[in-house]
Amino acid sequence: MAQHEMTTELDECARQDAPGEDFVRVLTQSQRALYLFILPLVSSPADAEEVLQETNVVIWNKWGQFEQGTNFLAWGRTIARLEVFRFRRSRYHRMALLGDDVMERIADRSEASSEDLEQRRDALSHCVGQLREKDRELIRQRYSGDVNGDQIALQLGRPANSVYQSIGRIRKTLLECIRRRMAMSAGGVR
Amino acid sequence: MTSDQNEILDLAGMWCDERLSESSRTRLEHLLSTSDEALNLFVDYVQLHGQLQWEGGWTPLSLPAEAVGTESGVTVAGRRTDPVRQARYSGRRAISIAAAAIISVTAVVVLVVSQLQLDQGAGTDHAATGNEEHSDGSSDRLPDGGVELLEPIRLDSLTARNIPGDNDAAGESAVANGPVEEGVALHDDATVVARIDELLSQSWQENSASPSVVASDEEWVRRAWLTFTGRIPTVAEAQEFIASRSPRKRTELVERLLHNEQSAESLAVIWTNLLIGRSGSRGIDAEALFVFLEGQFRENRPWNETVNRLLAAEGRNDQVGETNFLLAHLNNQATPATAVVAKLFFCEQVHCMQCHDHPTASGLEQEQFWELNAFFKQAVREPITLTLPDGTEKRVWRLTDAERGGVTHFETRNGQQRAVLPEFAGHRLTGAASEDRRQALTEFLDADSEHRVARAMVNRMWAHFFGAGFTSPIDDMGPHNPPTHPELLETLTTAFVESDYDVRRLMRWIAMSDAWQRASSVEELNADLDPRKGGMPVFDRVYSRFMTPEEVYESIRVAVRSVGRQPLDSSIGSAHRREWVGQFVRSLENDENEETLTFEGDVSQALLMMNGEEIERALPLCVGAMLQAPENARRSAGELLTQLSLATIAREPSDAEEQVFRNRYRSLSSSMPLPEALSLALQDMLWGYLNSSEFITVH
Repeated sequence: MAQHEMTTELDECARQDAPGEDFVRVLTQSQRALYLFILPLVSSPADAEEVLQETNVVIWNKWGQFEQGTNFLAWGRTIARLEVFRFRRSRYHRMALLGDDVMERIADRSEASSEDLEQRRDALSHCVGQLREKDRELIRQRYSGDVNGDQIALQLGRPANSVYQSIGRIRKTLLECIRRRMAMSAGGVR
Repeated sequence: MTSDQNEILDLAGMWCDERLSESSRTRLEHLLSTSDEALNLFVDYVQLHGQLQWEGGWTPLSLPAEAVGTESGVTVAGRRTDPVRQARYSGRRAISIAAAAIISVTAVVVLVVSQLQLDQGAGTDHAATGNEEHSDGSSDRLPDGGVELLEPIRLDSLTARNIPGDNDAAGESAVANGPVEEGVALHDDATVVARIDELLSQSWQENSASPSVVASDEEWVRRAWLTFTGRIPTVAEAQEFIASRSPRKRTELVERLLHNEQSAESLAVIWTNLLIGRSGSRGIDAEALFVFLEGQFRENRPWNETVNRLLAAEGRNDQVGETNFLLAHLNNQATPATAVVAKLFFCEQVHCMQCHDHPTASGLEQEQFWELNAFFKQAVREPITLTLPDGTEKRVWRLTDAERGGVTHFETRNGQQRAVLPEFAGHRLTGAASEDRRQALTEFLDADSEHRVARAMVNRMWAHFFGAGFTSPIDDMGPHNPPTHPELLETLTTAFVESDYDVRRLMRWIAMSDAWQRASSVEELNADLDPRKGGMPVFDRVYSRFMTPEEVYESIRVAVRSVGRQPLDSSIGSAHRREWVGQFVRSLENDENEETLTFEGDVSQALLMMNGEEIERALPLCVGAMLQAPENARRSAGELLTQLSLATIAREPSDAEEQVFRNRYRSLSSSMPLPEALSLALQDMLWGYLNSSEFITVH
């Protein structure tokens, strides 16, 4: 088919009006990055969930403002920052608040380390593989269900404190391992 | 970990588990405000917790209700899914695998990119790099740094293998078994080939296998170029072959390729990697070894001469390339040298026999290992420091022999001390200091009535062409691992020896065999006889294999230049390729000085495309060049797509692929001007083709 003919044919394609599949897909794909961005900025993982939910609502309602072809994640993070701010004002007024400048620094660091998510994910995968069988199992239990340390402690018949300490120790090990691998990769860049 | 670090991490842990007391929280906030390190650690730790949550299948109850109702497959909140697994493939940044550090395709692509830029002079819209804004406000290309709107095109499921039949070449005899040139002892070639055909045919009957149909021209021409020269053909080269009406075109191409200098290079690359690996040890001059080998293959020197020169080499490693082989393996009292020599030149695994007899094969004993090892006991590595004209120093090595003799001691498994003299194939030295042991070894090899060296080379070469050898693994021949086609192996071995170890003739025999003309597709009946599934190969077809990293590198170069209408340029040197390949290599420290190649089939695709940025720059450039070529001005989108598929996988696009292309074109054109949409759609297809398993296999 000649190019000219194809042009005419495609001119007849309707443009989309509502947030379509593509938008939903990209929103879905960015959930993890957004959540990880928000997490260090609030008081607890439960709060992060809530802020993410608020952020999604705003993103959804403002979809028309998103410029196709621009960086979705950057746009999403901008919205998330605002939601964090709003959330903190409404919730944490009773608690000692971190200064704005500290929040700013946390946000910067958080944004930076959610840039190379794939790499971190693979580093995590490798590092979990390096754990001792027992440790890996414990982490699996902790994170594969809606269980917390107390429930695991009950299951295992161990004091809760001890379980929490173990999990904490394993996370420290993982963190060290991941940081090392990320540093190695950074060193290997041309 | 310091106590400060421990403290912040403990606090972070409590934060994650929601067990922070008021006082601890105050302490945490104090640390975050006053210590950068604490802040960074905190963020990293907390995000690790978040990652673990996602990996474990947890999803926040977060997406708006409307989103849940669409067809995108988003699950109802709370169910255990990880919707972002799709994100793994988002954008042109494919999977980055931590095991392989950051791969830079720079070497290939930057040079290609710069060549294209140079060649295009004062580029126009399509040739622009970076995000140029056009007058209508749209960007030239999709942005980096984010999640793209459209998923990359995956073409594997659509790959249609060509089954010839409606093809014009099918009716003609694929290979003419007649003489090729005048004046050469040709009837021997024909006889050998006929014998191969006969024996394989028998084997097919015995195994109730029916051979594949003859491969189409498209499939065969790509296979031939890759097998001989280590790269895919350019579009022009492929078209020339396909369009040719000569009844003996396959024979003619084989002859051309046999004498093509890139074939010599390809063999030299393969053998350099076998002899000293890819990772490069300090002081070893890989380039010099490569040059030596390339010369040997280019001049078609007898294989046993090459082997002998490698074994008996003497001199400075920057001047006498062949010395680099042994120099790389003389550590640990030459035990690696012994193992590597046996593996490469005899296809025998002897390294374990260092410590004990072979577990299953009688006759392969510990003694024999040390008897072989003894031949290398005189070899000495001498370091030499040269002062170059510019005043810098360079360290080189000299390989030489000391005048010494005597026995080689070793200890058996039950603690007995034994001593041996150099012995091979029944020939033993006296152990006198004046004997030149390595020279003697070469003489014993030539006199070996078992023709071990010849047999090993036949096995390797057969595997190179067919994707499987007569034994599996190919470098573990012996009574414990009988060959699949003993008579055929013998025939070829004898012929090889009688031809004076003529490597070209060996390649010709294999390439002209009836079996090698056949398609690699699987007939119903053949499905079980697949060596990759543990079945015995009967060579009823050519078994596909993944390209080596070197082949991938070269083939991408060819493909991208074909698309961009640039002539093939051989000025990009092997140093760049070595650097690129080197990133996939990891040295093991074991008895054989082995290394691993983290480059297997599926993984290779991902690794290849890892540094998406460079590829992302090259794609628009070469597609841009294609679009600007005057002969393409009036071509349809479909014809342009065909140019891409020809350049990468040497065939026309399948209907399914064409559909994918049109869908992509349509999607893109809803948000940007048509010319941009066309360029992007073509880029996406090119990306898809380069990433496909069809591209990366030799079949």
